Amino acid sequence: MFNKENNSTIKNAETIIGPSIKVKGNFHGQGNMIIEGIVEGNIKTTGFLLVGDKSKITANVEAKNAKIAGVINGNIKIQEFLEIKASAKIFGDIEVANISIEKGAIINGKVTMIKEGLSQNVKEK
Amino acid sequence: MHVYIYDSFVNEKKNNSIVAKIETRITDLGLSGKIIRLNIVNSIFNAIENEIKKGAKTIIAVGGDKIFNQTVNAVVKLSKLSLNNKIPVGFIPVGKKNIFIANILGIEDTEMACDILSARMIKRVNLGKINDLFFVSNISVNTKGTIIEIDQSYTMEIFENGLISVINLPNKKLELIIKTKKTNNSSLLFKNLQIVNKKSDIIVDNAFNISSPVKIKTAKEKIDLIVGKKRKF
Repeated sequence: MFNKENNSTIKNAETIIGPSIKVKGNFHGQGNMIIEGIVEGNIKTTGFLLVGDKSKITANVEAKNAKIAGVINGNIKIQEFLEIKASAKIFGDIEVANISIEKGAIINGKVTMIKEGLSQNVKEK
Repeated sequence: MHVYIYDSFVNEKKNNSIVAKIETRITDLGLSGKIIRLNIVNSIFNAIENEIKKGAKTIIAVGGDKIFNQTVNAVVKLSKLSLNNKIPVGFIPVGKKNIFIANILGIEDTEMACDILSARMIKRVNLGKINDLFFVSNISVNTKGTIIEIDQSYTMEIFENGLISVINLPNKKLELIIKTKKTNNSSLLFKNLQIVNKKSDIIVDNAFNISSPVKIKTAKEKIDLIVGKKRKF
């Protein structure tokens, strides 16, 4: 479950998917998004994405900023900053402008650094 | 002219004293008008249609949440027929069980309801639509056995017992809220939603049940409601 820091983010979230929910399909939003449940399909938001430590996501993920503490099977594209917590397990490629990875996190995939704000695959020179 | 639509249960003997109080208060406030007592033979739609044709300026539902919802539906549908598109709807709740809509409109009791009619503060309100029916406040259904499809792009299943609600927000948006006992609530905004539950009915405006599947969306239509200062929107 989320700590106090995370709870303050939850209050601002336009979309919250609790632990007892399973979402299937193209899950697109414009505001901040909290996911604690199961998602199968695609996730896309122009805001902040928080993936809780109990969540299981089988989907490609796109967001402006993200904090990941759960399991993701799929590719991740983050325009600005991605924070990967110790409990995270990521099986897929990551494209991101800025990244922080906590000790204990598992990443099986290629990490590509891109220019901030660009959603396309632009490698830094 | 004010037209008062009395729900059939309002005419029961046990409500005589409260009806007498309402009618006295309405007379004192100079709001007397025509009273229509609903029964098996007269439909609310036809009754309101006739009164609007005769020049009714305000329609007031007297009774429970159900009669309020039916009055809103009739007035909105008649507005679409261009009979009169800005007739305000008021509400006088009768009975302790019928406080849900009254609470939202800022009505605490019968006497206050009459005073609110007299003050005539009118608020234009967005409506939600469930199949062909309009709703003012919310839709609810049990989580058990419910599948939700949102904006025709994804589905949701809920694995824990609880309650699913759709709230009609004042900013012309609909919000889905899923409350379960053990875990955090879920919520999101949507444009179109379909609910399927083969076991449980869907409750509309806390007033009546309909069976699924249902399609829910924001309605283009609006309604003028007479509201109190303590309204919840």
